[in-house]
Amino acid sequence: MVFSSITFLLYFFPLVWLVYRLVPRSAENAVLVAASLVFYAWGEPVYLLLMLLSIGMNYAFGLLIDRAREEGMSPAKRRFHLVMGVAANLSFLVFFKYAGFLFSLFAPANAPEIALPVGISFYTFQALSYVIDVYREKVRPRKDLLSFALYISLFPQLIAGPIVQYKEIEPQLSHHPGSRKMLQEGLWLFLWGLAKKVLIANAAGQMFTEIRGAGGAGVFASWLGAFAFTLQIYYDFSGYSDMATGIGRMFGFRFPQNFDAPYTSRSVTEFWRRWHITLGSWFREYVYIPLGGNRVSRGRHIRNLLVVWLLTGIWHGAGWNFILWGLYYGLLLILEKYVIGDWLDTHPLPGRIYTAFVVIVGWMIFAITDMGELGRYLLSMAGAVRNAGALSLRRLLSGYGAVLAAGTAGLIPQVSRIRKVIFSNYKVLAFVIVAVLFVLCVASLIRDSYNPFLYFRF
Amino acid sequence: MEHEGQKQPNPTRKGFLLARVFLVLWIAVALVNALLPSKEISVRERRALAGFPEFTLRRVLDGRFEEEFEAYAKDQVLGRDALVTLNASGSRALGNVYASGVWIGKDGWLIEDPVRLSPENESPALAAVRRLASGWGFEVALAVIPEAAEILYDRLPWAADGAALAGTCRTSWAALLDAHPLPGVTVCDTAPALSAAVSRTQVYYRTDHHWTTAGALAALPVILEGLGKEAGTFELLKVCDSFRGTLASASGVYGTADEIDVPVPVGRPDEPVLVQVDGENGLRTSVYRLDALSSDDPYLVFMGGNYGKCTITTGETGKGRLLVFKDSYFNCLLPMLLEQYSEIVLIDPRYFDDDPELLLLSMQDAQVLVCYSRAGFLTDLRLNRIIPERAAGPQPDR
Repeated sequence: MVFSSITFLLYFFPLVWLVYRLVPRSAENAVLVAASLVFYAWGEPVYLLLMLLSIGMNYAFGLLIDRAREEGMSPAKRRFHLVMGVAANLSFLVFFKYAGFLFSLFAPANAPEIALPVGISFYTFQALSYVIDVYREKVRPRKDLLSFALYISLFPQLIAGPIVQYKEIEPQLSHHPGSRKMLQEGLWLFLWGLAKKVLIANAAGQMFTEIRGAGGAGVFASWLGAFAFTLQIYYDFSGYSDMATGIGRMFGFRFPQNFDAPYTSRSVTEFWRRWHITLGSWFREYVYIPLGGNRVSRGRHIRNLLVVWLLTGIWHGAGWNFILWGLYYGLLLILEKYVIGDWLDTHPLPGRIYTAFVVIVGWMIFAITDMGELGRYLLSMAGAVRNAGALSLRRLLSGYGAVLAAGTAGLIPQVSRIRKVIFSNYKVLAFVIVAVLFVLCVASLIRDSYNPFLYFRF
Repeated sequence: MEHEGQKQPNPTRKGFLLARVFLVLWIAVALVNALLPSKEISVRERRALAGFPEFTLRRVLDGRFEEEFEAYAKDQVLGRDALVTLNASGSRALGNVYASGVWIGKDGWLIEDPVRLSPENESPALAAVRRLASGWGFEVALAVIPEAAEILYDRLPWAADGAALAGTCRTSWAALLDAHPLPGVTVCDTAPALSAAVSRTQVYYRTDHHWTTAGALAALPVILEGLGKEAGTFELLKVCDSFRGTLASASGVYGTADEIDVPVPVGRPDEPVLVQVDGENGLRTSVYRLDALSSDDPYLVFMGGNYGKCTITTGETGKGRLLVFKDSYFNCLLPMLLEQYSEIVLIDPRYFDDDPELLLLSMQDAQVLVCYSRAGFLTDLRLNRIIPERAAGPQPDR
């Protein structure tokens, strides 16, 4: 199920909330786990088995690894348990996400068609953080199966993040009383995120789809399309994170922040500290630092960066464009680290322009999975393809101009600060705003057919 | 920063109260929405609404139930008509003048985006027309009615760039005809007559993709000339003033309503007719369906819709036969042709599933009129499929 659906907004959520408020506190986690499993199973009930398997398996690995320590087994044996746990999790991910791609490389004729279970990359990473941190003795293994199931399956952040590491949420799993303030903030944040997704991201995405569909669109339209996708992916993804964080907060959970005005960054390095923050933290914690991070020779450091970014690329999807996209950022980060970083630090304006440029180009590598089409689109952005004339710029601008303008304005920190001031100081006005936005979202959802879920490849 | 609200020492009661009010309203609306009985059709949108999906374990497991549930939830949402209007007006307020293939023009005009032709476009329907004339030897008149966007380009919104669009429509159609010569076919160019009529009458509906009866009347002399006939005079009788057509349904813009007129011969009695619709028991005695006027789709007053084959016998004797290949644009023109022929056979290729060869052989003495909207003609694949090649030489009797 996705948040931006009438099923969620008018059936699932009201029902879950009502039941959650009616049951005694001791039954709250059971309600949330049941709701999360229904949420996950909706549309693809088969993969519920996978989710249950992941819960059972990681629960067991946590206890196993811990017992190995208690029984004083040798480090090699303890390590063996860890490796088994990590391998089991990764094997699911590899099978469901990458088997098709690997077959297409080595045995295209036999490529199996495996549907990707939604959210598998997100909850696999969450599970890995648990198994690894139990091994590192950073956390105690969880004995209570129900609250462990809640950690793996909690529906707000189940299918599109934020990726919550176990150690960040451990105490909340059995005790999440919430507060009046959290309830109000959470509800408002959810509705705000919904509006970002439905009212801005969907329209911007439709614009990009139209421009992309026109084939050779000329320089201006190609950049306009790339910019529209840049808005779409931000409003969609950060909107989704807001919705997740908002609902989580209503149920008494505090999730880590996932986006922090990424498009204001002055360098790619800064951009990746502000974009999908929980993914970056995960890779730093469980890949980059274990490889030695930057406290190694220059050669090894460059290797580490490339490994992390190659993995980041393919985490987003099994395809050449994602590999290319990951390496693109890996190389840019190496360039910033060793060549232009200091200059960028002292030149904020050129830094912003450069960052916007490479990020927008990067999004095209990300968005267009067909390499031939990607090449043509990039050539079109470079001015090497003439406008085929099928596209009416007048229509695009009149149809989407207001959304582009609103979306662009929303990127400016001063503008989004106004929203925060209203939400915290002018309660009635905030109420009116979110109520109107909610009705507009429902009106848009029942009518407009363009409402994609972008993370099905993740 | 989208996540952290500003830190406040004391959360105000007011905010919490408002959030509660919101939640209570939300749950109440959800309950009412779930308990209200389902509707079967949407009159405004002219379509059947999705009902509650069939619930079986199998359908749940393969995801069909869930998918259909979302369609049901969307279609049966509380206040759907109002929400659709809200969405359309909101979108317009933001400057969007294009919705689902429809331009939202000036003074309540809704105008369909015309079919864009590229130079390499083939027209299968044109090939069929050529076969009718040169293969089968029929005397053929071709009346392809231009699209509203071409004739009413100045009603299009700025974003559509009406003048340029109309020019493209005109020249690309002319280029298509040039590229596919039609020996033995009289091409009736109705565009000048329609353009000339624009200043004194309404030749297309504001809310529907059809031309009006007034438009058909304006084009009548051109079409009859193509058939070698002369037009009589007609006046228009208004039979409906609350018509909201397909473009209103598609765009969600219901602001204005249209009138529907029927033609009445001046100084001559109405033609008595017998109408035989293939697959229907009994005969009709009128080309109109007056009961449609009080229905959800008053446009069906013309013939009650489209049929594969329909034979109309008039009171005229010895005036010959007319075979018409048509889409729904022809329906309002038909009453004005009745006095010209003894028999008119209407074929709508989209629904025709008889033996076409037999039909053509039985109509060898007839004139042929191919009458379509331009959009219908350019996108039609059926006509070409049903008109067979005729083998050279005399056909053996069958």
